[in-house]
Amino acid sequence: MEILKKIDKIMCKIEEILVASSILGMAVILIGNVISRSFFNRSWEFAEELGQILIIIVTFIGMSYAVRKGKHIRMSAVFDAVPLKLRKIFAIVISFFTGGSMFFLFYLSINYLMDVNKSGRMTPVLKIPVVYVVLFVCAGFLLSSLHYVNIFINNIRKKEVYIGTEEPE
Amino acid sequence: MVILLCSIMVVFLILGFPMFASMIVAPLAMMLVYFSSLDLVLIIQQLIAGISPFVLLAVPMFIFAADIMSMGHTSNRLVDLVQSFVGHIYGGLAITTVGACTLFGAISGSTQATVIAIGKPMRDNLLRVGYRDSDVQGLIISSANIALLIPPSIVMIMYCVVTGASVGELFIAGIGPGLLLFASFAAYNYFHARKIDLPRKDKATWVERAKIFRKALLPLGFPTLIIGGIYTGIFSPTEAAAASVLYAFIVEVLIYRSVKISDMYKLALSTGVVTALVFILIASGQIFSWVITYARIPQLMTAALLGPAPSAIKILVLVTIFYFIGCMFVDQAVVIIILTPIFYPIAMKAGIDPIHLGIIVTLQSAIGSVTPPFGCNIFTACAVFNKPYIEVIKGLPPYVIIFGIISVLMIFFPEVALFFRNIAM
Amino acid sequence: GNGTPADEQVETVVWKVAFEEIEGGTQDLYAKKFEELIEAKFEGRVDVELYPAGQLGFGSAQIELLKAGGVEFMLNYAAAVATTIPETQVLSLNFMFSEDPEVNMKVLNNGEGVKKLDELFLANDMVSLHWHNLGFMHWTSNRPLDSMDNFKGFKMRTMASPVIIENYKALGANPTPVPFMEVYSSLQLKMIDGQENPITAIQEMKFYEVQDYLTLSKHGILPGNLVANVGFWNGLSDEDKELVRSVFPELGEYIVGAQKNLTEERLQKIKDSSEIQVVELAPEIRAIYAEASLPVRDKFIEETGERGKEILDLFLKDLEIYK
Ligand code: NA
Ligand code: NA
Repeated sequence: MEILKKIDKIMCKIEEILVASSILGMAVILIGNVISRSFFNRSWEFAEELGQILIIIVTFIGMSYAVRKGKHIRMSAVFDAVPLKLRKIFAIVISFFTGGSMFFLFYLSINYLMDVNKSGRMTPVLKIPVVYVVLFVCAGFLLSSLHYVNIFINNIRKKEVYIGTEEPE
Repeated sequence: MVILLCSIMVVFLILGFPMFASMIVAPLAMMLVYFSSLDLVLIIQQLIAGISPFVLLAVPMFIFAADIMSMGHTSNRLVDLVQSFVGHIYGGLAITTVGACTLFGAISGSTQATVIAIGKPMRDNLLRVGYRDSDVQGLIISSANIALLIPPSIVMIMYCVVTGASVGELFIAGIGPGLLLFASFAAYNYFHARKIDLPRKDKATWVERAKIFRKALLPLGFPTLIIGGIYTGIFSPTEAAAASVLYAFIVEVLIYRSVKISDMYKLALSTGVVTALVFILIASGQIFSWVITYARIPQLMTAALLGPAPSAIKILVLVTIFYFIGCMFVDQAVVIIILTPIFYPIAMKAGIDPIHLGIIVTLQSAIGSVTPPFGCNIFTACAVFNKPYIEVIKGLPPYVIIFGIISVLMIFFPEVALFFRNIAM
Repeated sequence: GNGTPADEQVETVVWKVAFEEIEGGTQDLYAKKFEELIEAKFEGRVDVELYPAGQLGFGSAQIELLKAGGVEFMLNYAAAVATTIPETQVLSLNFMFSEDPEVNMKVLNNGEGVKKLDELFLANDMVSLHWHNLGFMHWTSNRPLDSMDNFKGFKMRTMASPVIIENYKALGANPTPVPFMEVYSSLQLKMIDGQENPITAIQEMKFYEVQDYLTLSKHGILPGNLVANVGFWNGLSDEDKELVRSVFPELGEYIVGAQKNLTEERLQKIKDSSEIQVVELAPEIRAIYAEASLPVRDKFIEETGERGKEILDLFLKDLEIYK
């Protein structure tokens, strides 16, 4: 159990670093391109593809991080209005179902990964194999489904209602 | 088909499922039931395609810049400056918000960026003056959409590409309804503030104003940089977003020292999370609309309703209704690409001015971002202001009503839509 | 129903065709003709359904859609597969193809170079069936492009494709990738100085509203091909495959003519509705540009290796043969 918690903590740190550094990276690419184009008369041809890769990382790793923190946007009006007991049941059903869907999407993303790997597609300018980019999508779904398992177990074992993995709501 | 798709989504949403999950599961179910021969990896591919437009980079950049500036002094000093001029007027700050959103949206071309860049600093101050939070959300989300009608506007370009109408003419025509919306929102806020008697400030003296102005000199560089940079062609609107990050960094970290270097990592992280919340919804929205397109649902529904040789008014009413409903559920760009080729030839046959039609379509697109369930501006507000969905949409009805009145005016009085074009051409 | 044999015989299958251009463009004309010819040949057995305007996906998304069986056919821009089949970039080289559309059609339909490209498509699970030219590329700009000097530092919008970028570096310009939908405003705000596209796209996108010069340079072509899903194609009987192929001669003939008419009509529209100066590219200047563009071929070979060199040589030979 302790070791699992430790791994989880490290994973959390990695998610944070990936998300934050992607944002900083976007700023650097965009600003760098303006400077290079205006002062050195040379555009960074790779700006677009690198920017798009960073968007994918932020979206899918950030998605998993947001599951962990229970931050995803929901219409919670009904959920908040029902009595505690029912809310507990809701939370269990939601984490079970969403976790399952995330796992199914993980499975699909692995299939997609293999398709892309087979086609050998590369980004046009930097020649980065697209398969590496898809890895982040797979990781995002896998981590999300694991987080939902965690939330599901918390909801079963503990008294409080859990939306994210860390603190009860 | 439509019933299955919508009912799954609505049930999941009401139960309190995360929105992005509801929006993926519904089309997934539809693919399994109706198009079982399709390879489901298409879902992953569409998720990625949904977030591939490069312009989306502007969103995290403006969030980042706004975060730095609201942690530091920039935004407060800018708002203080505005307050010193309009604080004594009923609804002054709200009207300023409308104006700032219109202006900023016009420049950046992105309604989401406007929600962030203007909404974030203005909200704190509106709350301080005594506005209700849900009213503030409604105000910001709706005002940001005026941007779609004021050039440059990607929505208008798309309409012109699909129909062949002149971008230049549509741009000019859009200014009229854009200003009309601005005036209507401003008037609403003035009378609303008067009705509930919001507290006002004493009129500032010119000496006070001068003092505040001096303090706001550096922060004023921010709008100057964005407007100047874009209009001199030094950078694109997307790059302007990044330039404002750089400017915010220089001013707040290096000059004011109100934000520490170590804070930058924290701000980048929170920016990233907010971005992810919005982008995963844009991505799932892409799957949703892909399935609708693949199943040819819009074609099936419009054919039944139009009937043979419809009148101009009937066409415009149907256009309004269809775009309105379409934009409730999917992104405006998708609605334009799918529906316009259906309606355009029929409208031309009935003698409708292509620019008139274009303005109606653009207006409905603008309304679309503020109508639940799917609305990028709503998502952005939820994520950026960290507010529940319901709380955010509660303040929208007055604005949707204003939008609706203007839509009706536009159908029956083409001059409302064409006034500026007719003067200019 | 109570299925008599006659009923079963006329049961129709749907063939979906996806493409990126909007209705009224060259791809649309091509697709509509394909629909007409196929439906006639198959005498009611096939219903062709068109999905224009990138409704189902753009670029690589459309390719994946085809591979996943979402559609039976797609009309592909050669450039869209450059990330999986870099050799297709041979088609993006400037000043290589003929200024005569008939010659290019023969090279694209009967040449040996194209056959090699088709093999590469097949190796990537796509059946390339029929090539066509969607139009000659021309320049629009905010200053006249009549000398190498004027290209110096010229911010030319390009797609983010290595060979296309090299095309403009070779002329001394500053190639600047900008997403297609942003080109209009970027030209208007002078973030870029010019762009390249066929007349049809220049007219559709209204670039002439925000540019001063249209140089009819014919410096390149915009080739595309009709591609089928491999599983679907292999599932057809030999007779049906032959039946599909039998429409290509007429289709090829049609699209060359239709493309020419469309271009003339659109060019007239541009002239009628704007002040843009339409200029021909003088042969002697063209020769200078072509000379300066030759090193790009070495870059292409650098990028694609032996196989690329072989394909390039085949194309050059084909162009010689059909000249
Ligand atoms: Na705008
Ligand atoms: Na909406």
